[in-house]
Amino acid sequence: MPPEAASNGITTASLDNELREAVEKLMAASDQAVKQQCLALIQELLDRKAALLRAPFSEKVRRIKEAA
Amino acid sequence: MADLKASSRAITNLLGTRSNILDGFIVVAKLTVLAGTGIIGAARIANSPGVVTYIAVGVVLVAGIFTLIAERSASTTLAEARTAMDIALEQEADAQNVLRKLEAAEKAYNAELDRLSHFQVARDLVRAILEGIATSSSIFEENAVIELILTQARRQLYLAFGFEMSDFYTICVYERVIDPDTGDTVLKCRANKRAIDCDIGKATVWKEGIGAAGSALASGQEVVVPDLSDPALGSLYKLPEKKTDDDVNYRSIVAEPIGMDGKEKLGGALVVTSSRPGHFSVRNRDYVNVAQSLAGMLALTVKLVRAKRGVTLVASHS
Repeated sequence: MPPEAASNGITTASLDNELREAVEKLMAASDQAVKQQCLALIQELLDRKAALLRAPFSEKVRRIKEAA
Repeated sequence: MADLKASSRAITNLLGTRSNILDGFIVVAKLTVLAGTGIIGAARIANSPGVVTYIAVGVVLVAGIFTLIAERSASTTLAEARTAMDIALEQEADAQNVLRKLEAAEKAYNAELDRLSHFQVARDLVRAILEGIATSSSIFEENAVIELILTQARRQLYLAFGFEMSDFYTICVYERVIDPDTGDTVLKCRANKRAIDCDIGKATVWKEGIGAAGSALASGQEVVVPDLSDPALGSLYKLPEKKTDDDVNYRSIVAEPIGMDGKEKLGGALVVTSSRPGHFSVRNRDYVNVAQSLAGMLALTVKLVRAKRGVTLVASHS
């Protein structure tokens, strides 16, 4: 299963773009509340990307188990 | 599992077919013995043993012999069935064993997959930060950027380094500076993440050549200490002044020089420690490789930040 299929069309590339934007916003931010929002968003994006990276491998394992 | 099913089927067939046929023959033979015995008995009562009586005696004899043979054959069948059952049970135990190993392998695979995916996103974060620095018109302070990397990627690095809840761990980034009082080259902690956070000002200052961090700086080479308590090491990497829990908390260490252009331009060192003996090892470089890669990313970060400030990557005065 391609990563997009496991994540409703969200790809690692689109998450990378979101991450880049969030980091840029964080680095440009002076307001503490905005910084906190950016930090939370970055953490969420990192978690989502980690899950997306794992998805195709987990799917392969599931298929191998099914075949066995 | 296929072998087990085949064995089960074989046992069932063996027991089913052979016992049905034999049971049939044995019943017939026993009935024959009964009938023959009845005829002989009747002939004796009538006191006139004739041809029928002699035939009955013969039939009883043959049926008795057949019954004996058939029952012996049934015993053999039972023994064969038991042997087959034992083999099937052995195979089932083997299959369960293989299944357990497969489950353990799958668990290990998933854990490794998890670890590597978190390390990958930590690197993605650093890349995004580097891109932000490169494209921004602002000037950034390197310690703040390193702190941002360690803070934001803390959980990912924790998982990538394979730390566990029970571990005491530290991830420290040291900068190479010149001590203004002594003129010595020393390593000062600029950012750290620990199992139990503490004031960065209390972090040990390492002289060049002292401890794992100082040795990495002096040699420009990675230093891996699987177990600081290994008697073979002696006092090579040990602190002259130890705190109470140091022997327990700092058992396994990896120190990576931070620099890109050789020893002369080393910016500092990354030191990662674990309370688990053997956590960092040269034979199994899983976690050492994470440290090496992180040190490379930090070097790139420092170089980029300093380049934007127009500062070269050499020791600065503290």
